[in-house]
Amino acid sequence: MRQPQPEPTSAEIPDGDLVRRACAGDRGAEDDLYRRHASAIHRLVNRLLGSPQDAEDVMHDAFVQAFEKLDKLREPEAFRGWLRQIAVIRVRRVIRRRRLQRALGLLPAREDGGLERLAARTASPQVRAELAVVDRVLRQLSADERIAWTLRVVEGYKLEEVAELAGCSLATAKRRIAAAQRRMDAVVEITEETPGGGR
Amino acid sequence: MKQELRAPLGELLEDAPDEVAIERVRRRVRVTRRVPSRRRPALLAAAAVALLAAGGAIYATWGPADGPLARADGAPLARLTGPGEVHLSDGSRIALADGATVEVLDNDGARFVAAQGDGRVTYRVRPGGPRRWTIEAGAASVDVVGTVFVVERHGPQVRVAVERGRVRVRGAAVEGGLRTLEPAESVTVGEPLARAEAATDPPGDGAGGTAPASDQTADERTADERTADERTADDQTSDDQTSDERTADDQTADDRPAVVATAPAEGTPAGSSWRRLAARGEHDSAFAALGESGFVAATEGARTVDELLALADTARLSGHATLAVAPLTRIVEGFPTSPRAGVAALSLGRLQLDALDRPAEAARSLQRASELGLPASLRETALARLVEAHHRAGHAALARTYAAAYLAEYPDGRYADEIRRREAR
Repeated sequence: MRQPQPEPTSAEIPDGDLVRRACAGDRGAEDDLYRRHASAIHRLVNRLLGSPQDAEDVMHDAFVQAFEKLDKLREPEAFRGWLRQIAVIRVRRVIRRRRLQRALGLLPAREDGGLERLAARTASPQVRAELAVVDRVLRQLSADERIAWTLRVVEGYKLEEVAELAGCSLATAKRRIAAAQRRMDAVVEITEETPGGGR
Repeated sequence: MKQELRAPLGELLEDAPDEVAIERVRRRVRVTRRVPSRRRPALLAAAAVALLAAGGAIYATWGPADGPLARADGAPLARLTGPGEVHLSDGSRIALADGATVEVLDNDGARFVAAQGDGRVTYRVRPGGPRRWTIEAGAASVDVVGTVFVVERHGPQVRVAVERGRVRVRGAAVEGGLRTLEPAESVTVGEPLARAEAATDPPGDGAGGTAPASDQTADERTADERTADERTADDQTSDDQTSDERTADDQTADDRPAVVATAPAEGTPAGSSWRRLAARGEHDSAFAALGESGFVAATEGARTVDELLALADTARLSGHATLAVAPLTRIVEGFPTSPRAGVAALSLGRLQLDALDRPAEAARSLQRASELGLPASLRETALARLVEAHHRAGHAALARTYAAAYLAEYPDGRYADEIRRREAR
């Protein structure tokens, strides 16, 4: 005799199903989507921005925007990538806004945070120092270059993924990463473990 | 020697998910999703009906989520002084030991930001609320969702201990810049008061509640073991005595936050009595104890940011707004690296704009506040007031520039409609 199948737990329910349920007004499904993706989005925006405070705000805005426009998502299974795209667009806005505010004297000229702040406890002082140099260069890059380079070299995304997340063509993504890398090469040495790889 | 880094650099990082932040954002998302967007007027009516229907239940659960926190009896919150316990409208409680002060910096439906002066304060934040609580305590900023924790500050040193829930302690002096505390954990941030000062403490003083802060790192006592009531007036007196030897050089050399209880300025006729009166919220009496000439002398002789802030409060809250300008200006100009210089500049700008009707000076102070650095939760207010100051001062181009900056940063902000209306005129 065939055993009745147990109800799937929320962890087993595919994103697509949760999206469809959320579109139908199920706030519990929204909550499940949040819990499933919040950690990854938090880490991504925290690394892109280097500011926990801004990261929280971006995360909030990204999820709210995603939930409000969920019915516009044509492929519910693609929720993960779509949410990341929204978050990256918001990160770009924040970087540009902060720059404008600094230029207007609305924020202290010195930018706190960055990758050095996130360094593992086991990281050597030399590694921390190099990360601080990376932070300094990142602050001088345009928002687009900074995002593309961070997605590629810090997060390890493939070039195609970088292009998709940044909302640009592959050629543009490559150009931005190369421009950022030239600035990095002048001050810090970074080797790529898997030149064609990525996550 | 240059160290070679290997990509992806993410492997060198150790940014485990910040569960407190993730939970806090989850609540914010939930609250935002519950409130209809003003960009969707078609949904407004339906949502209003739904809100009305659910209003009673929501109120019972969350209290007045959209408005600022108030006292349980509905009175507004401003500066809290110990000893005593304040019951808030959302069920949270703040228990202040004798001499402790908490000043509310920002308070609305989404955030509650307060600055704690010296002393011991126990916060019982009702879990599940929609507001982001932040306690600014000199060298440490404490982010909270719902929890019970104690912040004990003695001059430059701050100790945070968690009894229930979790908090995140931020600050340049915090190892790694950030520390998450679980129940029964504590962290001590900042240097203790000078050991020479500790050595002058009367015997047994530490047992009374003002033990040298360096001993408190290992302190395993929970929040309930010492209530606000246990702190005696003698403790406060001892604080005064131990702080007397702090020099101005101590303050400026290492940019440590100042001590509330410091030596009276030379020539101050009322000695430290005005400070005790001010700490109790009796600002009229505090000002009377000083007199106007005594106030001026005390401002000139003040050596710490806390003393200057106390003087500014005394003037402002006793109806002598003009006199509050001097101590605030001294903080901005004399202690620009203090973590509270930005907040002092903001207070100065508000004072010049609201009480003194000097919008051009207010604009300069508010601009300076932004340059000196403000807690994130105060930046919106500072920018909105800067727009207003330039507008009232007749600086049309600057007002437009900063209005655009405000609307870009806070399109749905608290002052957005007002700024749009003003720009449209």
